[in-house]
Amino acid sequence: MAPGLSAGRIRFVVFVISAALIAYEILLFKLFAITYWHHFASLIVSLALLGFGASGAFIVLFHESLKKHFAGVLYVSPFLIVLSVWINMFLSRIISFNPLMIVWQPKETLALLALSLFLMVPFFLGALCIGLSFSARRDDIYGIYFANLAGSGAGSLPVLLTFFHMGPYEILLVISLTILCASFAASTSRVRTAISAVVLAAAVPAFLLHPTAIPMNSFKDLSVAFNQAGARIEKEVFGPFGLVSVLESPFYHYLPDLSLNCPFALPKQKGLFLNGDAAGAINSAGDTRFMEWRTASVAYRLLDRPSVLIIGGGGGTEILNARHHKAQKISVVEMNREIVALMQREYRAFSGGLYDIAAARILVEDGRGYLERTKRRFDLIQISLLESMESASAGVYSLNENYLFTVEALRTALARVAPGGILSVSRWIKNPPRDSIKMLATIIAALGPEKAAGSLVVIRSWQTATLLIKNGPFTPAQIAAVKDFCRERLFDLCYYPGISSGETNLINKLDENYFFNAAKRLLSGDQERFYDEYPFYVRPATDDRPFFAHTFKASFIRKYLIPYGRVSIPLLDWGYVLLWTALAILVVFSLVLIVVPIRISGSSARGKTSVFLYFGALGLAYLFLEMSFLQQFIRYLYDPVFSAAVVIGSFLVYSGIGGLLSVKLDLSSRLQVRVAVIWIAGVVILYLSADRFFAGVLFAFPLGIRMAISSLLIAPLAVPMGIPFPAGLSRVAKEDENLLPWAWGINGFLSVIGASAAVLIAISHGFVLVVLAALAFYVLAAFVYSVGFL
Amino acid sequence: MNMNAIRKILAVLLPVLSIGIGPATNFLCAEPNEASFAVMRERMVERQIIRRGVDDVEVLRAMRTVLRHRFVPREVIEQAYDDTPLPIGYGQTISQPYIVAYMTQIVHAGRNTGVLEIGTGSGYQAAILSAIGAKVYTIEIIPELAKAAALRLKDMKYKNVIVRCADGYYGWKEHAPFDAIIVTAAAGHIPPPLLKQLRPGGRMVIPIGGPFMVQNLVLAIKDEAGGIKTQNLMPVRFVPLTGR
Repeated sequence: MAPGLSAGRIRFVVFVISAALIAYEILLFKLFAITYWHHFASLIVSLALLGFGASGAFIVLFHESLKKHFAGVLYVSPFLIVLSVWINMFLSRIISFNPLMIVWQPKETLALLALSLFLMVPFFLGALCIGLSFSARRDDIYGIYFANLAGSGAGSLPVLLTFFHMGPYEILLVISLTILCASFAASTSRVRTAISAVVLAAAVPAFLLHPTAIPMNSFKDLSVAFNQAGARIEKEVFGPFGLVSVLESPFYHYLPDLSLNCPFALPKQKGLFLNGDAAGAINSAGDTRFMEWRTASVAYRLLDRPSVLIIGGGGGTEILNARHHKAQKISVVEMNREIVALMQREYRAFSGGLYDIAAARILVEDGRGYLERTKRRFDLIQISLLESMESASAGVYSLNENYLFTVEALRTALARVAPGGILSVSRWIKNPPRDSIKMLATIIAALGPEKAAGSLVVIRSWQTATLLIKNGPFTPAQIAAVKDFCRERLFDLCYYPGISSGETNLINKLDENYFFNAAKRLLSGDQERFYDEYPFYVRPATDDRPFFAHTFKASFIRKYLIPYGRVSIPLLDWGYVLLWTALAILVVFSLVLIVVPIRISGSSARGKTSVFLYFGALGLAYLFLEMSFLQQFIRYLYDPVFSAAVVIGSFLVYSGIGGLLSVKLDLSSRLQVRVAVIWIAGVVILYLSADRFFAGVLFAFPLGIRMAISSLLIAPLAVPMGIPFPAGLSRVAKEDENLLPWAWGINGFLSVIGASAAVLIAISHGFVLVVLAALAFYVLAAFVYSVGFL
Repeated sequence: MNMNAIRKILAVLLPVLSIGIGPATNFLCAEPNEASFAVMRERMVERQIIRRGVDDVEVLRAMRTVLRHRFVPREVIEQAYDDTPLPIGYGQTISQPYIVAYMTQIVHAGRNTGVLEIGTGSGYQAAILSAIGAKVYTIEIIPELAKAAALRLKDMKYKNVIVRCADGYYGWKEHAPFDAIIVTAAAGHIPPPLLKQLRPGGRMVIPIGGPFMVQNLVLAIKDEAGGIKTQNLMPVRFVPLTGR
């Protein structure tokens, strides 16, 4: 035992460090989504998490000396973690990394690796403390495991909630101070305690000197717009969805689906940005006749003073549109509460009170969640175009689950459309068209080809497509109205019941008649061959595979990349490609750092294969289940922020409790692992089969109760998931303690790999397969355990 | 220190040291001179532009004569003739040489044609247009870039170019109508006022995509009766299969 350090103190240090590390991880992800882009943030943070596994490799290499100085390492590490966290903040500002140049300039890859390497340090140091604690206190593995998981669970919860009140640097300050508290618990002398107190006291004013502005890549939409003469950032708010910025510029103009023929000037606009990406504009009150010259306005030509539901209120363009067309009632769903607050306060007068509750029903929640829980019906449901063309064309969101654009969601939306009413969805047109064709396929799958044939209209401008789905067939008068609307505005007709090829692709000419051909084939029952032959992945998104923006297909490589080389690179979905890149780097680094240290250390320990299989399988299985159930529970809660907090927090805390409970069970460890795996399999199968039932029951309750029930539902699954890891670690400690840090490292590496791999499997085969793969890994682990490690 | 300890330290340090090797090589390479730039320029025209199907003699001549390396920042001067867009500061780029050549060709810019450019950037596109004898009116919204481009173009004796720092959304009424408009800094949509300043029979081109990723070019054509049609052109479509 380390001199002067009780089991309780060690547990406390592990708890605090675990909490701080997960909070730091979430914060880094949020920060880099602002500095760079969402998909690059995933890549950087995934690489940084290699620090967890690397700590195992380091302990293997320097096992004896680290154990000898265990108390010192535990005491010094919190200081070093805090120091590295703040140095990283500084370095991430000065390391010139331009992710957009990564395909053109090899040095950008080096910058990415350098950035990831520095970011790895705090995770490495934190994981070193945890891994070393297991190694040094082999008699308290279950207790340390509980502290580790409970800490991580606790860390995931407050950091998500603090986004409601605090900026990123303030959160980092809290994280730093929390970590420094660990040094008090790890202190073994009065001198050390005094040093900790001095550092803590000195740290507060030092931290207050932190920079306030978040660095942003100079090619992000906001950075570019900010460079315009006379531009300034008028308002910035940091919230759970990231940074909301409002740009005041005399020259800001944004309305993507405006007709080339529009005779009216746009009003004065302010730019609205989310994490530096364009998210629309706030229009000033005034002449709104330009609204009649947009593809998104075609539905108003067919409906007289409709009651409207707008999903994605943003800066209020669609609310203004509804007002201009004298909508009878307006309901707006906007889940970003910061945007709603800005529109109701600071920009109320400028926008003409678009978000006033007297003029519209404002619902701060997720669009799918509202559609599921409401019983109301609307004459028009409008889903607006919120992300920027740059983000859409780069495939920034290709890894994001989108539960609004799935077959099931569109069925729900169509059920909320009153008889004779219309669902209107607008999307960007890329070339060749991808997500707009995927939307067409998803709508036709939701409605069924026969019904869709008479109830579908598709029009497009030079860069946006608007799809209308009517509850009932379109009448000849309505079709004539659509034709007139398009003719005056230079929009193309893509599909209406009875259209002929000669009427399409005339004004805004694409090199192929993509939309008409797609509609004809999808409506004629030829969809399977169409999906196979189309150069991009346009198969409808479903709740099991909710990656609407994912359109990459392996045939892209044959059709474009090989024949055309890097000219074809702009057509790639970057999110997906980078995830594969991250996985490849993670696998290579992990294998090297798993194999090399054990070779260098000259360990003669037997049973390495069994240990590798057992802890590797557990790492993958745990992350596969956690990621899959996060996805499942998003559909119960329909709030990504709360879902992440509840699911991740509950999984970790309950697993920690599971580990502790297993000590009390009067069963052999072999039996414990077997029972745990059977238990996990039973709960998983039950939950998968009762998924719709749970969703149906939960929607009867408000969000708070849904969160509590969701957390309780996770318990029966997460508790047994906490048993195999400490059981295995205890056994390794008994059989060959030299392999214990190695096992810790393997689990760390495979957990990081598991997070990326789970998303890739879900994209290609759905989350159900991820769950089944997790069960297979648990069965493998149970088998290895029953055979024995050595 | 025994071998084991050395091996352990190297195992930790080598990956760190390897990160520094790339940037360190930059210091060892000398900057190319004018003669080698000329060779690079010729190679650029042959390999990146002619092979990809640009065949307008005047455009090719301009691409051969305009000193592209004078339009890029010093840090990237060695890559001036590479088949890549390059950053020029303020979140802007100088387009890939082939995109510049292709846009110049498809708007039918030629001697004595009036061309409006929205988004001067470094001034390279304006210099190419000027080199083929067009009268160029170019608007840049970022004051620093506008000033630098105006000075550069003046220094390099491109006399038929006028640079203005303003909002390009409303075009340049005083010099309208134009035979061609090139919009290199696209807003969220094609500004309708610009189309009004296009002469009947005139052409306008807009590259679409991210800053380093031109996915396609939208070509708007105004017919003699004033009607507008657009065409969506994908860069990979123009590249012959042999043109990798």
